[in-house]
Amino acid sequence: MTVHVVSVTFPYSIFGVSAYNNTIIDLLYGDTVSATLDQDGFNLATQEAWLAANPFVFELINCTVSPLPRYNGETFVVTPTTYGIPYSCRAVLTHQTNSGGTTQTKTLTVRGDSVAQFPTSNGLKTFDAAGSITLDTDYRCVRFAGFLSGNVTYGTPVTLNVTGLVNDGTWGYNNNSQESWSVQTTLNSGSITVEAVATGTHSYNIQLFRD
Amino acid sequence: MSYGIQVKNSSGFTQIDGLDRNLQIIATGTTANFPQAPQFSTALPPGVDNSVVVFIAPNSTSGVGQSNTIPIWGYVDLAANEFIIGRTLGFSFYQGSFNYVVCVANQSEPTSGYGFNTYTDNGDLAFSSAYKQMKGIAHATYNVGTVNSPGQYIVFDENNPAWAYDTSPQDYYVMLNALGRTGVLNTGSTMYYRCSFATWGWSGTQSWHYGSYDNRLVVGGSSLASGTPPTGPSTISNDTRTQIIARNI
Repeated sequence: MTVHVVSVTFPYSIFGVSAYNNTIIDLLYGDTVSATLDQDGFNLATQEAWLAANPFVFELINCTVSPLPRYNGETFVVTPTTYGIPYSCRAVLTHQTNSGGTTQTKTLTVRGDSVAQFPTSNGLKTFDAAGSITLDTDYRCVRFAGFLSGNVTYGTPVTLNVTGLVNDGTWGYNNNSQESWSVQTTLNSGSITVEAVATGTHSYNIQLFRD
Repeated sequence: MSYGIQVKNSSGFTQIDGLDRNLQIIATGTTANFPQAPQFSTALPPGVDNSVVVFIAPNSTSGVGQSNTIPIWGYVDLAANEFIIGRTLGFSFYQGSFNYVVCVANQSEPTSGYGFNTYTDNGDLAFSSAYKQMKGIAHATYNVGTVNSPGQYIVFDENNPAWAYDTSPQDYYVMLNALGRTGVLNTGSTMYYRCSFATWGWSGTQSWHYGSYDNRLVVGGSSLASGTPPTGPSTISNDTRTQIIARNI
């Protein structure tokens, strides 16, 4: 997030005429512009009074300016309202010549393109043939990591090694066997222990999944 | 992973990888109303294999009874090609129906000719944009407990950041496969199932059971179910189960 600095000073030599400065600055997401426009040469009390009563008039497209009001020589910050589309800030200072004659304007325009925020959300969004969402970016999806089937005999526990298995909230399993109440499973780090709690031999069918 | 594709959601959880097959929805529906019986069955689609996973949620906008809850247990009976939903002993008077979602891993390859498929290293279809995914919300691994050792339970309620705005308890499904029986408790005069359970609870009335008045879903072990169980093990299995709370949206 960079603060780009624009400082324009109009010399006294052009005090009596209108003038402008047009600066193009393209902004990345979060960038702002610190701008200053200063017309030199105000040397009469009447002019100082004029300036004090006449701040910059801003014409803003897709941006804001702060703080307000701003007077000759004071710095203001330009911030895009929406990054990803162009912005433009035109600051117009109207003043009289030192002789009190015709009013002149001094204009500073800062404009450019801006880059939208890089998406912080990840994920995938998919649709079926009917246009319905089948997966959205914020879905947490259950995935089968394996199926572990077999038999276990009372008094002879079975250890099923599962690479990477930890109880971290992303691994899980259920024994989907009809005899599940005859079997007790225990989650270990890297393995599942299967033991029979009733006499005889009993089947197990473990659905191992991650999410 | 060393090949294929890996996609993570904004919370860092993996959605798709090159190793595992996603659960893919093959059927949805609504059960019959709960009869005045301890349990009832619902047919599974024909031909499902042992990868079948069933998610259920009550088709109701409120609970029942003083506690304003719907507590159940259940299991998948693959041999009979059906799933069972039963009542626990905890004021389970619900007589409405349940919405269910049936998922498998071994879904056939879609024939639409477009979209996005991924495959495991042995060529199994792992993910297809043609098949809808359940949106996983919360994950709980717990022990069911024994007679002398209460099982663990997990409360998922409106205070949880994963509880979506403007949703109600019935919007959250539980994995029926985690709700199986773990033994028979013989009190001498009555026999009960010991089972892993799920309870949907609605706010607004007295909740005597868990001390919470929020909309909530409680899953865990150590509940009892009535009925006439077949001969079963009298030693209670302190089994490990994993419950996935999910939405079908």
